[in-house]
This record gives sequence, structure tokens and C-alpha cells, in this order.
Amino acid sequence: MPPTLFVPGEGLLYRWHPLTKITLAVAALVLTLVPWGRRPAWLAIPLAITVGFGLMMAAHGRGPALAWAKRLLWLVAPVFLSLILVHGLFYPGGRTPVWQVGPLTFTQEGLLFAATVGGRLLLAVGAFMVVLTTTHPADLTTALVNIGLSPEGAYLILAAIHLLPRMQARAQAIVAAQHARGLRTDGPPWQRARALLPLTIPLVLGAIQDVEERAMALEARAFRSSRPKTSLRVLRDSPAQRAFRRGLLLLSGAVTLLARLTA
Amino acid sequence: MPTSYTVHNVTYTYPAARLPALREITFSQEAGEVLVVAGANGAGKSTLLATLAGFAPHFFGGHLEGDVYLNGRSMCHTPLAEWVTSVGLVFANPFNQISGARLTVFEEIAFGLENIGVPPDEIGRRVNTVIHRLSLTELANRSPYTLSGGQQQRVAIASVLVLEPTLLALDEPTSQLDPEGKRDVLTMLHQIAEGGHHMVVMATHDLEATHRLAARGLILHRGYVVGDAPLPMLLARSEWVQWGITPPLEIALAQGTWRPWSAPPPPFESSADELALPESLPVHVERVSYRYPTGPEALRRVSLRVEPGQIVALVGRNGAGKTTLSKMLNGLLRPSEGQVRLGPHDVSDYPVATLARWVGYVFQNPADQIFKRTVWDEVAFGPHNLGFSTKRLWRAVERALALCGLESLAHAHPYDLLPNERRWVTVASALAMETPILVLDEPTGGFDRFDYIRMCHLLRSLRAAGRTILLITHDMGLVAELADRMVIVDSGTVVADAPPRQVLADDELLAKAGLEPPPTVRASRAMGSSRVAYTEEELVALLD
Repeated sequence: MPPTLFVPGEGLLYRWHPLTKITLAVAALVLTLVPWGRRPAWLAIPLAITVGFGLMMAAHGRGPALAWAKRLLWLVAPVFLSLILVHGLFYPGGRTPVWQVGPLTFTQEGLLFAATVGGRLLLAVGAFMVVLTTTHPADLTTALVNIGLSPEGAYLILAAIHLLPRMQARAQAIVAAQHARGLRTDGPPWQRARALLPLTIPLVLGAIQDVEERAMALEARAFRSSRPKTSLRVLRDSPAQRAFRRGLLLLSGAVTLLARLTA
Repeated sequence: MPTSYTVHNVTYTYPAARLPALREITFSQEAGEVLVVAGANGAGKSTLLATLAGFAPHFFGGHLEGDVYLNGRSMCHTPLAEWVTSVGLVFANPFNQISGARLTVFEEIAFGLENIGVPPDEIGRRVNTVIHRLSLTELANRSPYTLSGGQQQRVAIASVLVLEPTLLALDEPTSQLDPEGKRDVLTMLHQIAEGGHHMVVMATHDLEATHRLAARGLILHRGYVVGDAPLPMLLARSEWVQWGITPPLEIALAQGTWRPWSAPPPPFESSADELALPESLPVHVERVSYRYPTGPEALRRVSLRVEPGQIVALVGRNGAGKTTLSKMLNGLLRPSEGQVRLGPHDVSDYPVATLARWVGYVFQNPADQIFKRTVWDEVAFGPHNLGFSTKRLWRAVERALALCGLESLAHAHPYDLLPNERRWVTVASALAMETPILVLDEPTGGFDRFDYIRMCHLLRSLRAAGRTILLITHDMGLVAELADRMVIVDSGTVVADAPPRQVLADDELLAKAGLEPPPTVRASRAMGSSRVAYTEEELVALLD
């Protein structure tokens, strides 16, 4: 598996300039940070926008849409579950019991808080996953460098984004090697816990070693040369997209201001 | 001024190391020349290349005395980012050379040119030229991460070559290549040097393949240059045995210094009885097909049988399907069609961890498995998982360490070992599991003469003890010496399955599969003998 979140495809999102998609994601992120209040009805806003992103992805075919949905589920579901457990049970302002399991009581206020934070997370991850799924990594770094980020900074962002799939690819090789030595990763919890060290140590040591080797690889390819860089890939932008970006930023600013004033 | 570089009295010590890795090294090289650097593992070959490329000390730190001058310019006084545009370094492990910044092979090769500001039109032209020269056209749109080791090695060379460096330094550039790929790369390096504007220096154990294109050799031994002369002269010296290098057969024969691999005897004794196991299992692969989820069909109706007491060698081009086939044996990959059986056991009925009782697997990359703090504990991990009794575990580990020459390193941290020693740790780890079936994927890659001889003896002993052995290799000499059968895999199908001397006699078949006969065959033909020598022993008989 190539260690990237990008899924090749065709369509509007693929044609858009990376900055347009980043602006869209930032605008969505701003929406999540606006203090909407904690009435259940407001929870529908981040959910509806995320569904909107999902529909946009679906319009670009099964491959990109499935990849987007899977990643969203894998990244958000565990956090969402822990939010419900922690805040549902232990939220300091929790007064109204809704469900009792033995000595544990879930409160309405706690669950609402968990749903608010979870909804924000869902929208933020969903929005940025749209950018990463539909933007070629080289285009993303070029766009970031064009707005003033250093090539090293842009590469750092790229490396951080791709850390997950790269680790995943390496983890698969390690799991294969340790299974071949008789390691069991199934069975009771103690057996699974025992399997953690043989899997994580090579993964962590490999990642540390990887940093040095990757740095050497970049040095060997003149990455830190002081000469001006060129790009093989041409980024297409248009006056309409530039206007759209400005409009989105203005709108986000206005919504934030309005929310602050009326809070 | 003619293009040249000089290494002037260089002594280099790595950070935190007590002793220098390079000592008082002085030599120079001029354009048009190919220089081969040889020596045993740990002699300082890779460090010398890293010094030429400026990584030692600019990247690693450490202490360097002396300097390297390229056309009069000092390495010590030039920033690394500028030095690398004149001196290109190709690493020994091609996977580590992938930048991770680009998605396709084409873009990966272009990455260096983008960094030095070459206009896009020229980038396209230069990348296409290199891609064509290195036969990478069909891979241009693939992700570098999805390629086989040999394919990645060609991409790594292309990525540096495209920068057109004055000095091209390559660390084991052919170690993972199939014979055809090796020939292509070496021919290309020769052409580059012949042009008269570039210099090529490569560290290698493979003098058999490289001596024809390199006029000059540099032998390193424990950090010192012990020989710097025309290669035939160097290889005529009898010290090569102590240096741990393998001279090309035809030169050693002509000079009368050749000694077969059975001498000197290895420093271990093992009898077939000691290595025998109560259970022996044959491998039966029947009409197996396999397609990777996101890739092409890797195997198509492949059948294969390996009996106990047999060594079967899987050979073929990089990416032909050899490793895919071998992973079917221990269930790491499951066939889309067909069946794999280990004696009475159908592989599909068992998880990988259970199959590990019967199949020991030596992977290409030791870093994927090593995690314990000592070599002893690492080797004991497999037997421990398999539930060996304490007594049996001790016996198995001690024996495996002895067989692999690791007794003195038993308490060392595996990450402190040299790459060849780490590879031995993985071999010992598989041996200690006492499995009736063994799969070894490129077991001699990066080995010097000492390691090579040890591996040959080990495999012979294991076969005599009734083990079932599947060997994946590009080394035709190793195949001719050891294999009972040679199976050629090409584009996911078996195109030949017969005793090596039968397959190796078929020049047409070999050429079609991108293979070459072993050096002994070439040497006996060059001698004009009516008989063909397939093994070193047969060559001795022919000479007598």
C-alpha cells in the first residue's frame, strides 16, 4: 500500500486548487468552534455539513468516497466512544439521569456535551480528510510553499500527514514477520497484551531510524539546496476560485463575529 | 582542468565510537574511471562512500581529519546541500532512498531536479531518458512503495543519476537486482564513466559482476586501504581470503589463486544427526493463483513440490512472484485459488502462528522482526512462542547461535550489530524454531566470502538432516552449488522446474527469464572444456 492518504480520482474536488479545499475545510472548522449553544437541535449543524462532505465525496466515485468514510470512522469512532463514557458518566454539570447501569449513571448534560464535542471533531476530521483524499501530496506542498511556507515546513506537514499510512504499511510487515515466528495476536486479552511489545518495538525503533534515513534521502536529493525550486506539477487556479476563497474567509469571519456578539 | 577528486589523509570516527571507521585514507580518481571498493563486512566501505558524499561528517557528525577535494573544492568547506549536487550517493537499502514526497516513480525521479530548480520541460526530458536507460518505463506510474526490492534499487539509482553528478557513489548497487537488471545497471554505469565527464565509485561484494567494468580496485580492511591498484593485480594477490572478498573466478583461475568455497573450513561442526528432527514434511503447492487487492495478478495456477531433504531454488526477475509464492507456505498470503499443503496439513486450516511450527521463514529485512535487547533473547523468541520446554529452548538457541557464528555476540544488542550480523540473527531465529520446512528469502544478500561459505555449509547440513528448504535467490552460483531443483518464476507462472544443470544448460531459457549461467559455467566454457562445470567442485576436477 502506498503510504499516502491521497486516492486518485476525477471530478470537481480533484480539479480545485488545494488552497480552495483548505479554505473550505478551515471554514468548516470555524463553524465547529462557534459557540452554538448546547441545545440538541444545534447538533444537527455539524452533522449535516459532514453529510454534505460525504455526498460531495460520493459524487467522485466509490473509491474516494469509501476511503473517506472508512478513515473518518476509524479516526472519530474511538474518540467519540471515550467522550460518551467520560462525559456521559462524569460530566461535572451532569444533573438529569437518563440511563443507569449498576452504580453508573449517564446524565443528559454529559451526553449532550459529548455529542457537541464529538460533532465538532467529526466535522473537522471530515473536512480535512476531503482535502487529503483528493489532493496530490506534491500539489499540497507546492500550494503551501506558494503562500510562503518554507519547503522544509511543507515537507514536515506532509510527513506528519503520511505518518499514519506509512506506519500502517510497516506494521503489516512487522505483524507478518512476528506471526511467522509463532506470535499469536488473537485470543484472551492477556495474550493480546503480550503481543504488543514484539509489534510496537520494531515499529517505534523503525520510525526513529526512518527519520534519519528519510532525512538522508532528502539531503541526497538536494532538498536543502538554496537554489529556487521548480515543480513538475502545474497547479491550476482561477479568478472564480480566488473569489470563492475570499468569500468563504469573509463569511467565516462574519459568522464568528456574529456568534460572539450574540453569545 | 580535468575532472577528478582526491581523498587526502582521511581518518573518520563516528560519534560515540572509540575507534575510527576509516584510517589515513589517501587516493584519487579521475573522470572516465570506475573504481570498485571491496572488503569484508565492517571494513569501512559504506563509510568511505558516505565520506565522499559529504554525509560524514556533515550529516552524521563525528570527527574527520583530512579532506576530500572535488576539482579542487573542499568537501569540509562546502555545505552538504551543495556538495550533493556534485556527488550523488545511492544507498545500500533502496527503500530508505525513497523521498516519500512524491507518489509515482516518474515524480520520485524528478524530485531532485525540482529541488535544484531545473525547468519542468527539461525535467521531463531528463527523467524520460533515465527511465528508458534503466528499463523503468512500465513502472513510471506505479508508487515506489509497491515495487519489489530490485525495482526500488533501479529507481534509487535513477533518482540520483538524473541529477548528473560529477561523482556517482553507489553502495552495493546490484545486491537486490536480478541478473538481467544487474547487467543493465552495470553497463549503464560503464557508459556513464566512459563518457569521460563522470566518475563512478561503487562498494560491492560482487566482484564477479563488476570487475569487467572497473579497471581499478581499492581494498579496505579494518578501515585501512590495503590495496589500491588495477583490479586484476589486486585480485591476483593471495590475501583475498583474509580480506573476505570473492575474486572473479576467471581471474583467480588465471592467476592460480583460486580456492573453492569448501576451503577454508567453517569454524563450526554440525552433523546431520544433530540437526535431524522427528518430523519431516513435504510442501505441495497445487494450481495456486493470487491477486493483490490493489495490484495485478501475482501468481497464475502455480504448482510446486518440495520433498524433505531437498533444496529447491526459486529464481526469476524482480517482481516475478517468488516472494508471493513463498508467503503462501506459512499462510501470510492465502491463495485466491488452489491449495497449499504441508504434508497432511492444508495450510488454509491453520493460522500463521500455528503454521510457524512447521515453517521457519527468513525475511529480507531484519528490522521488521528484531525487538529484544540481546541476540540470545531475540533468537529465543520463536521457540518460546512455540511452547518449547526450558531445556529444549536452551539447546535450540545455543545450537542456532553456534550454527550462525553468533556465540560471541549472544549478549550484544541486535541493533548494535553490522547488517550482515543482523541477517544472521534472523537466520538463527528461524533455525531455533526447529521447523521441518525452511524458507530463506535472499539469504546471502550483502554477505562477504566468510558469510557466504558459512551459509553454504549450513544449508547443506540442513538438507542432509532431512529439512525441506525453499531458497529465493538471484545468485546462480548458489543455486548451482546447493539446489536439487531450480524453479523459474516469470510473470507469476512457473516456466521451468528441473535440476539446475538441466536448466542452466538451456541458454535460451535463461535469457528469456533474464538469468545468467553461474561463473563456473562461464569459466569452464572459457577454458574450452568439453565438459561444463556447474559447481566449484566440478571446476576443481576439470582443472585437475
